[in-house]
Amino acid sequence: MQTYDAIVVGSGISGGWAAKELCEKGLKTLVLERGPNVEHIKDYPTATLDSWQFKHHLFNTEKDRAENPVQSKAYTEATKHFYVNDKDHPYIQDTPFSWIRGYQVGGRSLTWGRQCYRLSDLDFEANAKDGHAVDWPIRYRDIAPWYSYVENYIGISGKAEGLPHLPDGNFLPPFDFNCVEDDFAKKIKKKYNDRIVTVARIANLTRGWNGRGPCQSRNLCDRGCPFGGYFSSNAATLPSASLTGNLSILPNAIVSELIYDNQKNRVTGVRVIDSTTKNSTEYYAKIIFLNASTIATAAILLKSISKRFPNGLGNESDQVGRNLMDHFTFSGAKAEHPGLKEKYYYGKRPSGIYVPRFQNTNPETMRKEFVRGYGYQGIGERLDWNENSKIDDFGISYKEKLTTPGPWTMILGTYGETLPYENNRITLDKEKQDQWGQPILHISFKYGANEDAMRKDGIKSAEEMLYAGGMKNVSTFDYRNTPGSAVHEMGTARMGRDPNTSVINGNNQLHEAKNVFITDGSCMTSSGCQNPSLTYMALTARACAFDFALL
Amino acid sequence: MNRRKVLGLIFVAGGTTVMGIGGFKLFQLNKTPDLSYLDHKRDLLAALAETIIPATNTPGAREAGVGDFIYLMINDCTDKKTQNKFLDGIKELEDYCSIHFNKSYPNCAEADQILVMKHFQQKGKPMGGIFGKAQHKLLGKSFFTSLKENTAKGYCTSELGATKGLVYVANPGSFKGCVDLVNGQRTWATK
Repeated sequence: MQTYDAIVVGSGISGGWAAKELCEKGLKTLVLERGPNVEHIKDYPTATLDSWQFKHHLFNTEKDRAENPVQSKAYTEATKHFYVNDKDHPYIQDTPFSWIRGYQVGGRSLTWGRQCYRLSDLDFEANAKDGHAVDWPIRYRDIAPWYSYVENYIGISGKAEGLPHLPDGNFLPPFDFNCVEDDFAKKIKKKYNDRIVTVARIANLTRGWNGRGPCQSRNLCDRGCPFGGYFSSNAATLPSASLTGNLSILPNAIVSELIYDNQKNRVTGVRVIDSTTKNSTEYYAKIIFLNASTIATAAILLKSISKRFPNGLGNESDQVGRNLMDHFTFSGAKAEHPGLKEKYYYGKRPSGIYVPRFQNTNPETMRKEFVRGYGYQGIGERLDWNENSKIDDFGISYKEKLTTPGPWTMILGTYGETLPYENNRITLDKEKQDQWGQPILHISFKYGANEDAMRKDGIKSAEEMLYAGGMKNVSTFDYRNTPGSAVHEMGTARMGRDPNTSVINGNNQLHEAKNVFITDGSCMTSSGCQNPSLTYMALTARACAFDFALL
Repeated sequence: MNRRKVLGLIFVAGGTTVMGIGGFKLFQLNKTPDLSYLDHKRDLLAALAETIIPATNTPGAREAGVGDFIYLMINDCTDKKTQNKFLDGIKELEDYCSIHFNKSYPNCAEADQILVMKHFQQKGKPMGGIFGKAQHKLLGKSFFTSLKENTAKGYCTSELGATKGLVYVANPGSFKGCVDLVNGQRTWATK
């Protein structure tokens, strides 16, 4: 019998944190990862390659688009190996939903967008105040020290702005604005008293930190960084966990279910399928952390059937798999800046700018059309050959235009909060199975009227702000991207106080099986409009500090 | 005539243009293209690319290996309709050169190559606005457009193009937000 003090399911951004904290607490910890191993630096085969060293110079093939219709939207020739193959890992889109996945040690922490923003009480109180879904069982004061704790370890570059609804963190020096962003930020500050432009807060190290980095401004992060310039499980938490001597990592281990012992009234372990041999093994532990990622975690709970839980482990509320959220993106406005022709930038900053939410934040900014709010992510840049190539010309004059820096542009893209809707959910197919005999899951997801109203407002305000920022040739865009495209899935095992309406409690414990902790995106009771990973990490560290002797 | 009416007429007109091609043409564009025709046209592709991005004080597309890149892109990274249009375009261009100059394109004088390219540029002009978009979606990109775009992509992502035609620093070390443009500044090859 293989017994550990703790088992962590998943090695992505939250699983890595669980591994580190549990190991450092002295617990013998087994991390189960369904994909292959990825060792920091050694397994980043494309990290230092130039575009011409790739067969198709980083462009995806038609075969990619045909065989991998979902993942190929997210990957390039340089990162394909960090994404699953859609054929091998099917799911059913009852409505269009792009489920972007990376099955390997480190999960999507290798390829994440790295932006880190704290939630605030504006977010934690939102459900209670406007009556959607259920109240969060925690408030900002409960998580604030844990934000600091994880930030101090991760290393996040950014600028303190003193906004109550986007609390400042413990930051490393911020990346520079470029001249257009600087000009835009100054004009916006002058023109508005409710909004600011700040540089993205990002888990890229502007100086050496905890033996990692600094970031070299190569902007090739999602290939894995040989400089350890950004935070990932592979570069940071898993090596820290390993240093304790308490860590065992088992790759190629698909968790099919959690084992509930009807006599002991507790979860005693997990059942694992070896992805290569398809053999099944059981592993046991006193504590289980479920960090398989929002959709997969809910699926594991639904598959964990017992006499006590015929509808899935911890699912007496019927909330497991429901309330799926993803931020809506890809709408906004862009424009040209008329000046600064003599200026340029050096290096490739791995991020852009951020306009924190400025709607429904206080009595002066209330909107009639929608509740909650959105922020903008954007960037100022000089057009380069990508855009210049479209100029209708050829020959020497074309070459000249192609290779000369074009006009400065600024783009603002909405990142909007999505409300938790019960019918945005995942379910298991009753018949269809994957090659490991696991039920294939269905995803059903639609944005509602609130998101629609917010999207329209986001487009209009972006347009206004660009004009206010002295831009010309302002145009709006609204691509209505497939849900899931933000890769911010949340909510399928939400926190709450009442076991009848939520899945886990304020300590991230399954209401109905207290030795199971869920701290990935599935725990989110509402989505905020901020990039969510930092919150998963803070909640994970907080949950690991729980006094397990009480169990 | 009011604006709505004008728009209505444009819609009808545009509609017939696109639909008028209809049936047979769409069938032609969706057939499986015989790409092996391009196997022996690498020199031609390199010559066409060179006309689009000629050598100046920096290398041209031929030297940067763009002919082979176009071949690869048309084979692997191009939708079927655009592939068919590209093949048709190549054949038409070969005919055009032999009729007008009695030579193959690579053997034509540079000035004549420019005349040929102008002809195909003119032919390949997409309709403006939403019709252009609909046309592109329905019928694929024109021969000239895909030739030009693939040439630019190939050149700017090739070693010579990126490092000599543009500026490229594999490892900048840090980011400086605001620097002065130097005389004759080229765009960064990557962002």
